[in-house]
Amino acid sequence: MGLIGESGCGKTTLATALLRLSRPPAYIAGGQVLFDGRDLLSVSEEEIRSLRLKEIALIPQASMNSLNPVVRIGPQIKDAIIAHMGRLPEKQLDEMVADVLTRVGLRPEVAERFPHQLSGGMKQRVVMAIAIALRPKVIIADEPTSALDVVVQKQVMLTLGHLQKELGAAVLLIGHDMGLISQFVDTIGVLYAGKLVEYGGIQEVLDNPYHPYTRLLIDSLPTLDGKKEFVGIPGLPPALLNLPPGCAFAPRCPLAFERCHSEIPVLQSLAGRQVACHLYPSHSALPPISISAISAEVKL
Amino acid sequence: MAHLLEIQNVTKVFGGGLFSKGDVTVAVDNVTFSIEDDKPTITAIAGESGSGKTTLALLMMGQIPPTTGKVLYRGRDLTRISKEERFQLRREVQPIFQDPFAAYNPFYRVDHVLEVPIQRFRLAPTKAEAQKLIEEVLEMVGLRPAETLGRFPHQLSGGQRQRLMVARALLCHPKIIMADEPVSMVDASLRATILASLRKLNQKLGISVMYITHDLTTAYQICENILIMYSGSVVEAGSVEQVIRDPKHPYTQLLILSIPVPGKGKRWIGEATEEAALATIRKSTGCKFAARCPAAMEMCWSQRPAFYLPDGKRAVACFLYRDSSVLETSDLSQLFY
Repeated sequence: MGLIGESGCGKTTLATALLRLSRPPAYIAGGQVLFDGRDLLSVSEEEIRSLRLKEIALIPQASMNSLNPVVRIGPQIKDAIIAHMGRLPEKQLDEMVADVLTRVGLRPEVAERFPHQLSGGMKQRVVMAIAIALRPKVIIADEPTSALDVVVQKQVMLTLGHLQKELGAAVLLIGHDMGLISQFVDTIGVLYAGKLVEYGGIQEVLDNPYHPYTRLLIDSLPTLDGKKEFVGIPGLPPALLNLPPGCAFAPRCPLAFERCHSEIPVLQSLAGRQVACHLYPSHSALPPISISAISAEVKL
Repeated sequence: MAHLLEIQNVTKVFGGGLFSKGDVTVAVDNVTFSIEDDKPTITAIAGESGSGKTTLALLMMGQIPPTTGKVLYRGRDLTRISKEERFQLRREVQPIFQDPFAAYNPFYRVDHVLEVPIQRFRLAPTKAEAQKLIEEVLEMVGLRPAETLGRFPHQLSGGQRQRLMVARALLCHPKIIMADEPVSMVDASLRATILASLRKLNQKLGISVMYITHDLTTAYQICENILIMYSGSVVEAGSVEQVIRDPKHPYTQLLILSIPVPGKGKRWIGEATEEAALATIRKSTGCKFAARCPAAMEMCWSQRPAFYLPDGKRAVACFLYRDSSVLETSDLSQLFY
């Protein structure tokens, strides 16, 4: 599943909250996180610690920077394994490290290197190797390819896809690049100002988005089909501390009407899609939106 | 035609010192390029990480000295310019750096990053004017002054930090902006706003923009011309229409194929994972791309291709086009005029 949204909309906050890794002063105010029927928000601290990495793995944003620069790769992977499985014999650990590096497309010799000796893409794959070392059931990948160039990005995403098939794991892919996410996911959720505004199958959402924000997001994708004016979404995302009454997107929405500014839309199910927008269910599809090319006024 | 900034046969080598065990990296290999004073352009320098594009930008800004070759600012060799000239260079050539996590000193509030250029370059006579200037540039990149000023870098999101970097570059009204991945960590909707601003700066104020990126799609949308770099050398150069819509160099073709395009029938998930070329035993002393090139011929491994011109003003450094005429000058920017 993909989760897409602008920076600051709450994607990483959600990812860390799922594993109860929220840093104070953030706290979880309500709701449930159901994993195999168990609510992760109410299990003991010990239990959630054992679940992290072993059952649900997180590949955090810019995780290339989270590798310890003074420790070789091998011990860093072993660290993760030992934390969950106890001190296994060294030979077995070495084999597991070699195995997991091979599965992400790296050579076993990489275990001898330090992080600074690896390229960005290789470091990212090392972090993926740590994430899958214990064969988790769920992998949460938070912007796994940001700052990687397009060639390496493809390699890393293909690796992730390959791992997902091999492990039979579910993947939650978080990002802001619709082009990249749509290559990989089966379903997509669109996040705006901390709320889910649309959810559905990727092809259906791409072909026929229901929420105006989704439509604008898709339209703002640059293509190689010909030069055109830049189409952005006018305005700015709302300050989360100071949300407008009603729908958070209303100030920027080209289709907003009176109800939008006073009443928060609820997520409703419509023929296999979920959408939070007052246009539905009275409309069956998104009315046409005409967005004129944005003109960035240079006030100098 | 006055050359504002010029690099001549510039090569940059890292390593090779006393303690480096003979490991040398040729980051930039004999590149010649210039930017005119009176003809503002938007040029992309594209390539994968490690291709030398950031090093090339740093060389052009005078931040690092070349190992061989010359960097000239207004006709003067950078190693010989006076303090005043260097001051002017710094003001006229503004960078936008790549990493929004590393570009900030975490001990200062983000205002510092905007206040220092205003002070150093004397951009505003009074505090009130300075404040006004700061708020203007923040708004141009889609940041709310009330939410941005007074904060520390870790209190802003990656996208906000990057936009702030763009705002900082706009403060100085430079002649050239060297933008190293300015929108890579910003969302699609905001990307359009920032890129549109860069384009407006170019069209309305005559600022040349060097847009360094690996994202060929945005490069296509904003730039007129492009240089494709691989392993320190330029492999293809020309207008974006020619190079990106009709790539001739096998490496450019690989780059275009790696672009994820949303939509049916264009999924590349499911393809066999391509192994990186770490394992190639044969070393090329000729074309650097030989080891990864599907079209490599015997000559490619031992000879360096020249810049060929198979169709009009587009140069390709590839023996596949050896029957075409050769580019006369070494200054690639001549292709663009």
